[in-house]
Amino acid sequence: MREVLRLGFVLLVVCAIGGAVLAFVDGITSDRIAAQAAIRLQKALEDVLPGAAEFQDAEELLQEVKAEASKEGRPGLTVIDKMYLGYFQDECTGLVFTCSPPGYGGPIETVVGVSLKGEISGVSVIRHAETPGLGSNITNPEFQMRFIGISKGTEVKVREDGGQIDAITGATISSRAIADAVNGALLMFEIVYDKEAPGNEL
Amino acid sequence: MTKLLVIFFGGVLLNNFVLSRFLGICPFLGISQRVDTAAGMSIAVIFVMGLASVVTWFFHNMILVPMGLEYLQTIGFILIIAALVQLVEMVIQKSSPTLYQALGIYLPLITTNCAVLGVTILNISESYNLLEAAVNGIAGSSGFALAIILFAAIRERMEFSDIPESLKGFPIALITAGLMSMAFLGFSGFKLGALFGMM
Amino acid sequence: MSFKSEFNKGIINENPAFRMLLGMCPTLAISLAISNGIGMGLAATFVLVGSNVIISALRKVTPGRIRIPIFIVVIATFVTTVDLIMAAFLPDLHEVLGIFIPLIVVNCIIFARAEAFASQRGIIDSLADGLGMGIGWTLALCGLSAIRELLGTGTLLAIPDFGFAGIRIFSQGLAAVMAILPPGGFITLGLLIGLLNLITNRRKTKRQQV
Repeated sequence: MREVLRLGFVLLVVCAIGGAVLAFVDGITSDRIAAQAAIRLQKALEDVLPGAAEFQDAEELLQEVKAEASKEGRPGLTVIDKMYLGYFQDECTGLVFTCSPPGYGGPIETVVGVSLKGEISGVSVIRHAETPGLGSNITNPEFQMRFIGISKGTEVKVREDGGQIDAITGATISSRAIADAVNGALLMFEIVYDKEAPGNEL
Repeated sequence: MTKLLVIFFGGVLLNNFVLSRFLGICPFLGISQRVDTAAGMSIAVIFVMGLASVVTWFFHNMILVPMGLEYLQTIGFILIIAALVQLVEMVIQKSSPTLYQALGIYLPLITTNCAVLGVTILNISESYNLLEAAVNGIAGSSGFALAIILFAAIRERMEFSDIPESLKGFPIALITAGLMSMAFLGFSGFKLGALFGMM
Repeated sequence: MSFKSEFNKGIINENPAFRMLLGMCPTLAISLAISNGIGMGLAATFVLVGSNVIISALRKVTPGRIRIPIFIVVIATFVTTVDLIMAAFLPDLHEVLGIFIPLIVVNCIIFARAEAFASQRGIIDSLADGLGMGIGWTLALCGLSAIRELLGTGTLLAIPDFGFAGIRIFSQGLAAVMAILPPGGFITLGLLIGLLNLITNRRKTKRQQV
């Protein structure tokens, strides 16, 4: 019995020391890890909406629009996860949407920026599980450029589906997913734009 | 229900733990000379992995998260798995000597099977609920079982083949595993959600 | 045995990946790009050196019956430290290596060195052993990664953390994507070990003839 207690005590001491070391390391790194996520998001948002410096999460407006859309049975908005209003010196310059359209290897976390004119200002992929070398080319700026400048009211599709976007060779499904995200962003932009009418508080 | 089916078939076929996620390679290569030992190992892994998924889920969501100690995840999970393996070993030894004879030698090896720790960490990072975590544990281990048993069957036959001297042993085993993995690649891109959603 | 010979053995004769066939999961999973190989290798080297030194220092006071749980706690502490530091300072690499960072805990190399070496030898020897094994593994990872990165993408040395797209050796159209898919990992490693065996066998027969 004494032996068991002794062993237990030794183990407890080792665990306590390990725990203490980790608490110390966590104390040093936790702020930075939390900040990393925010930095990544900010950078991704800035990338797709050039010119905007501050972004405001418009969760309420998004939920409102989504609720209305599902009541009317309008499709295409389910890919949108979050909506941000981009500002430059207190003036709204456009909207950014984070989307997760289903790709080949799971949802593709995509960020799409739409300028106030209703044109796509940038597309970028944050996280994906597409096939390396094929589907993973959706992260290629050259592919993402193909969407820039498309304006609202256009239905974005890959050429295989009778659309205007050249899909990546060997990765039609991944390309289609990005087209879906862009499409969703444009639809959403149009609804929000009409709803909030030009010139008001956006 | 659909989500559970997607998790299960995803773990067994699409994202097979061994052949596409590279988890549990050590036992996969080490204990696959014969089908019966491979099967014994598989049963032990299924048992421990299912159990570990549930226990670590409670540990993470009931203890670590409320206390803000998420950084103790790795250390806590591995200790739980090690303790669990010991416990399972003792229980089996007491209750069923025949089962112990069959599985006993595999149990200690499971602690260092990275598929077990891997599945418990994935359960948390995918924020699965309790049921989904349990299904994921069973799916991952079933995928492991499928891969290792098929692989052992191939290796049994390979004993009699004429293999170049320098490829004998591990190299040819790795190449065989590569070909199997290629076959499993055929499952990727299956839209399981759509398939089961229609049912 | 001197520091130098303890260090050297891990790099060639007892190379953990090619000779001892330890730590196969991360070797296969992350060897997609040289930057991954270096990141993973150095992370594991840090854990290996740290845990070897601590376990060696504690070897006299560690009760034999509970040495395994103590090893686990020591190793896991180092692993979590690396995990947190990487998440804070190299977020992109941390994302790529993902689950394989916490899984260093169950990497057989580290456990094997703790059990077979550090728990019986002095601190300096254990340090040399950890460093040699770690660097040997890093080199093996980099070698395998270089082959797969080149064959699979046509580039070398792409480093996403610094936004560097890599040196293009041949066009992407010529790349065999299979090399960076899971089957490519198994097959490349199999052929590489086979090649090393072939070289050693040749040398052996030559020596016998002489």
